Amino acid sequence: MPDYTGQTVVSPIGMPPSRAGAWLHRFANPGRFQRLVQPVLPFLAAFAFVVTVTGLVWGFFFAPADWQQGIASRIMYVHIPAAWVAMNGYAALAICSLLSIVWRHPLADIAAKEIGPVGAGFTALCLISGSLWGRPEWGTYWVWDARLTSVLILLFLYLGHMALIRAFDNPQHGYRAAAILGLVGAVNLPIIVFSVYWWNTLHQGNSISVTGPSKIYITMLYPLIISTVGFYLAFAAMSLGRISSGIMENRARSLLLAQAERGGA
Amino acid sequence: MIKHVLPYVVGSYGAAILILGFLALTSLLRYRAARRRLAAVEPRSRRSDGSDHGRQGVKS
Repeated sequence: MPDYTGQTVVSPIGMPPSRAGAWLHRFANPGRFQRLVQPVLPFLAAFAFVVTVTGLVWGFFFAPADWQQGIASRIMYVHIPAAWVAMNGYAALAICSLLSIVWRHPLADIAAKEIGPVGAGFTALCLISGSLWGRPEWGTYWVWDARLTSVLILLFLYLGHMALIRAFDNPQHGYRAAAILGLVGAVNLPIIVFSVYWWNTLHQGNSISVTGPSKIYITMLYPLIISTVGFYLAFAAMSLGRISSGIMENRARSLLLAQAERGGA
Repeated sequence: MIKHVLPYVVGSYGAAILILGFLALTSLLRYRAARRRLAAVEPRSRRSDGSDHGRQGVKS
């Protein structure tokens, strides 16, 4: 049976389908996704804009300068949130790839396809802001340091995924190949996180820990948290909007194909 | 040690505004174009924006 993509729906691997698989299929139904997302999306986008602007304005104008780095530390309010969103965005892409490979759900394919460009944008922002931070602090824009190199590889993984998913005439082939790349590339995430401990790097270690106390003073931590929340909300709003657009485009394409087939019959 | 750090700080915030603004703008324009296109092909989508296609398959 042709689905909204105009492609024949492939049954999930394994018969009978597992309870988890059935739950995922019910939850990830494109129609349900649209009904859930479309009413929320304008509010999410507006909220993301307000929170991001608040975090950046607070960081740029009102956060105190670091006693060692001076005002260069204000780059932190762009660089750190962008790095976190870049890594967690790839984690989301890898989860979508897993769902695509195991359950072959078309919504996971569309999500992986649409997360890619957004994640690549945040990764590029992380690298650019990091270079601009490195120049006054390290005396250079770039070093082949383990942390910097692994984040550069993350950008290449995003770009490779974007290219691969669009490289085939049959979209299903692109989705399968890109899903494998997305899963394999996830091995880079722990390398990024632990690179500063496994190798001697110019890049500093983590200043913020979920389990332990923060090394950042509270007046600098608050704008960082707000900026981070804003970046995550922006990532969510842009990704959900693009996924919703992808679903509508596929729906329109399948309707046009059906009309053309009826006209030709 | 570089004394004039402000251009680097401004540059990083400028990059944030440019990249996030570009992503947001392209996402918004694509979303609006997809809505218009679907509405043109499927008039009932003016009401539901394609949200009913999970229940109604395309007959071929």
